[in-house]
Amino acid sequence: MDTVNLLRLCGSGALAAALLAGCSTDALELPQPTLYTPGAFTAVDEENGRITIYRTLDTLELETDTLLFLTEYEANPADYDEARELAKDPALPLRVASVGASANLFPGHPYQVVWFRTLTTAEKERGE
Amino acid sequence: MRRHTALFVTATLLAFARPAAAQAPDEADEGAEEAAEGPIEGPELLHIPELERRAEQGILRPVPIAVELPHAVALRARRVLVHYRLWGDPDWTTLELRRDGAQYEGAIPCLEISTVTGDLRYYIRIHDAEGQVIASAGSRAEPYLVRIQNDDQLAPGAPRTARCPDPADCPRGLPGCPSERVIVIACRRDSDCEGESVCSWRGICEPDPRKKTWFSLAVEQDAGLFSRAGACAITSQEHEGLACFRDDGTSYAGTPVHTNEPLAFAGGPTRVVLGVDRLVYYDTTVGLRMSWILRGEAPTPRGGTELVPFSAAARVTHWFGQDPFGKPRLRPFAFLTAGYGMTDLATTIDLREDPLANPFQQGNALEQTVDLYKRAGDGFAGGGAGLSWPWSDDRAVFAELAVLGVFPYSALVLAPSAGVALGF
Repeated sequence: MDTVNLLRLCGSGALAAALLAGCSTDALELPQPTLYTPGAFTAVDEENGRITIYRTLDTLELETDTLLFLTEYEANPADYDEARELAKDPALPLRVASVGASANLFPGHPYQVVWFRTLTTAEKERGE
Repeated sequence: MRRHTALFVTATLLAFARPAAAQAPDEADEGAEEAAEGPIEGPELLHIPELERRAEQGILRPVPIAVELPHAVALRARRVLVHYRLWGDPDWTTLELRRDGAQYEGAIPCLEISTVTGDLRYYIRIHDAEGQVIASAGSRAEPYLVRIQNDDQLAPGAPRTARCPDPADCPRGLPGCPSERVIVIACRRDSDCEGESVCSWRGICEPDPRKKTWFSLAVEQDAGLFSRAGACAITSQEHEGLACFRDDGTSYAGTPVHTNEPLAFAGGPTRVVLGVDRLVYYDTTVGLRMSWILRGEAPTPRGGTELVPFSAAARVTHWFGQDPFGKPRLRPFAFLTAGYGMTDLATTIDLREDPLANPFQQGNALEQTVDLYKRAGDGFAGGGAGLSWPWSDDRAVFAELAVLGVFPYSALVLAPSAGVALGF
């Protein structure tokens, strides 16, 4: 149940339905992964129209910048939805195991965090 | 109204079985002394000499019966019943004698004597106020005999005058008229009753065709409802009997966002149930149930409480209808039950991982569906209803649905079952 529907249900006064669904502020604002969240998959619309999937392994805060340690995947989705579906596959092949990039580069390209999965030990080690 | 003048069979019951006229005063006192010593244990046997157990009379005459009780017995007596059987009649009939001072008297109706010759058998039982038999004269095995004969066979000098009166002229129960037939005989124990009758729960003698003990064998399929809110959080799994398992079979130990999932309707284990019920009243049984889980056991997470596949419960059942066990017929019932037992309920839950939390477990996707198990127990209480259909006096099939509240690891369990029952 998405947030909008839940709000509508909780405000409708339909007590029984509300009891079943539960009406709590816990569910109203779901925490979302960001580019800086270790384990987040980010689909970046490159300049040539190609979408590339990156995964954040770790971050390093600098005084004026944030350094991202990323994995780049061997995938060419046509849009963000396809990128999300590809990102769900734990066996998605790697193009570059680990690459460092400045977070300042990302505002220059349209991007969307499409998925998240907690990192495995091996994935964490790639970012160290 | 005319008093019977036919042969008068007097059973004069004394402490040691003497005709009233022959009783010595000191012997009568002995009976009173016995009564003063304490309650009589078991019926007192009032013996009558063999010679006095036989009489004869003509056809078409009532058989008057008069009983004079010993003082000790008379003090406690409330009903004096005559059980008689006519020649050729397979059944015994009961009459109540009417009290007339110190004497109880009555008569076996003339119209029942009719013209049938042969031996009329009877015996007498004296009941106290609670129905207990406190004395008897004769018995079903050794009854008094009255030989009914045609008039021309009677001894010389025997009365030959009376003939059956019009019943309208002499209604049953009136002085000098036939005694009232007794349908209901009060009792306290089975020994107060005769023949096929036993002392029923209502305190009266009646036939008891009921099978009082029923053993049953059934198969039960559990299902249940429980809350899934926050179900896979570590605290829930540690303290609420919940367990979550990922697709790869490992326990889920991530950080889920509380998504307020609706109540889960979950499948439960299949059990074989053995039961025994005892009929304690016409429409009430009390019983025990023991069950064993055949299939449907959930995996136990590391450190979790192992499933106890055995359960036991007591129940009280009310059977609808009048005297439902009196004869085979459809028997609806409702029951209350409580006992010990665990139930594993299995369902799934959609989880959303909190990406901002410090991850405790690797490889948890933002959204995933995991297997969710609830090990509810260890106590339960509830009720249910069902139908039993006996296809013979001692065999029945049944189906029922129980609704059980399980605690302290809570769930609402529905337990439909079906089986067979055997009565003894």
